[in-house]
Amino acid sequence: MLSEAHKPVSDFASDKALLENGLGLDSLEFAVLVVRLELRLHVDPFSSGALEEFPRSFDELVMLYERQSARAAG
Amino acid sequence: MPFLASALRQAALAAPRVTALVTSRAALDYAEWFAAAESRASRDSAARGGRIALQLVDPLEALIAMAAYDLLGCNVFLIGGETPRAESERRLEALGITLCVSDASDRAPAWRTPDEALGPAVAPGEAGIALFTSGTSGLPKAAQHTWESLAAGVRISERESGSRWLLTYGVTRFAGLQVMLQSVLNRGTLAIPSATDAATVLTLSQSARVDSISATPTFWRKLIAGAEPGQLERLPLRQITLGGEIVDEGVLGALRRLYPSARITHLYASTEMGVCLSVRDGRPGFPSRLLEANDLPVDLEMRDGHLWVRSHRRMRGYVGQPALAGEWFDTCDRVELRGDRVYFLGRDGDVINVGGSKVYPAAVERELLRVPGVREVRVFGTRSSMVGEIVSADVVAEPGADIEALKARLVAQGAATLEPHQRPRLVRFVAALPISDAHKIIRAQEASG
Repeated sequence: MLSEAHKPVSDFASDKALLENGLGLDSLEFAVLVVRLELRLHVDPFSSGALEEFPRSFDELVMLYERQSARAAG
Repeated sequence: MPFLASALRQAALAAPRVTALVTSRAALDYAEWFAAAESRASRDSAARGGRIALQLVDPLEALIAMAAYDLLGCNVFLIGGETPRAESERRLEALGITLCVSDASDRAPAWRTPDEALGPAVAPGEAGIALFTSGTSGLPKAAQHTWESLAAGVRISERESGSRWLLTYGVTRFAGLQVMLQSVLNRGTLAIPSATDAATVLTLSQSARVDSISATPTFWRKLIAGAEPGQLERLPLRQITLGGEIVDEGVLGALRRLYPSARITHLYASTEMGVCLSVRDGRPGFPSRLLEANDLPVDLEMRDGHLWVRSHRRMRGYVGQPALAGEWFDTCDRVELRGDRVYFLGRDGDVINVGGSKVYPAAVERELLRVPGVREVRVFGTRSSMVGEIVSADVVAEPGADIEALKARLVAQGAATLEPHQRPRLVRFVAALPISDAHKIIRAQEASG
């Protein structure tokens, strides 16, 4: 997705902020990432609206999906 | 004598041995068609002056029946032969119609036949023909026309005389009836294919020496894709009529190259309003001066980005519903003025809402269709928890296209020509697009994954 958006993939680091100043995804690109993940993983942690903590970094995003998947599986 | 029956009788007298209808299995000349209609009318005379539904799979039977029940002064409700039984029953029950003539026992509703009972009587002046509109949601509505209002957009001229038309639409649809009337009123021949694949269509077109085709752009794209090399060029086409969908430069250009001497017309019409516009200058959209003109049979206006129409060719109303208020009718088709041209953007209901920004699928499709290697494309919205909807596209690639390279070209085209919210974010490569039985690309459907 970064390369599609012409954003430097070489800058990728999992602890960087996802949005603007970090990896540089804009809000629409982030929305697209969420839809693509939902198609792949069948969970959307943002659909409930009860989102305690918006993930800032890629690491936090992965943890959010892991928690959500565990909940869906449990 | 009512309009269709009378037109047919005149044709039967003036041109009895001219082939009126032809399929791959049978042909009827005008005298035979009218005689079959008279014979059916006399058999079913109990139906005189009643409301009657027709659900006939065989197009020749359907056309004979339309003329027969017109002779009997009926109000005829047309249901497509392919409509599932439960759906036909729902429609007819909603309208209180108890008389249905059909030729497919597995599909047709179990209504009484004319021998047994009369439908509710038709009030004076109510006789005519009612068409179900392809409502995008809910129960389709029946648009009440007369044969006169349906025929109002038909050109009758020396040039049209004896034309040989290919019927690419269902004969129970507005566009199908237009082509049928165009043919009958000019004593031409109507060739009716039994299927819509390229081989069937082209075989019949060649054997029936078709010289005129009315079809949707989607129908043409499929035909061009499915034809053997050289096969299309061999059709001696004089008239190509496009309608039913937005006409783009791609399909106009392809047809111009294939048929340099044919007249290419595109129509803007609806079941409710009839034929509103006919454009022959070979460009998409229509000249903006038509918005000002007051010498046309149909008045056009742009209001809040919608095309509004006032027409004498319009339907009388929806059956069983209050008469339409006012003369002007909102077509719900979005239009845009660019220079001296008005362009269609798509149906209002098709608008994709991306974070509050509207995206018109047709505008995105137009750009993607320019990408080499793209044969067909359908743009639609996919639900997003973050921004409402995002833009998705199903793409049919040309055979042998390198999919990875094509993906890159699509992304590049989006970046070059579309705003970020308009760019397709989910692209699926598919073998074929879902196509309605009116040969229009179905939009409303959402990606399932």
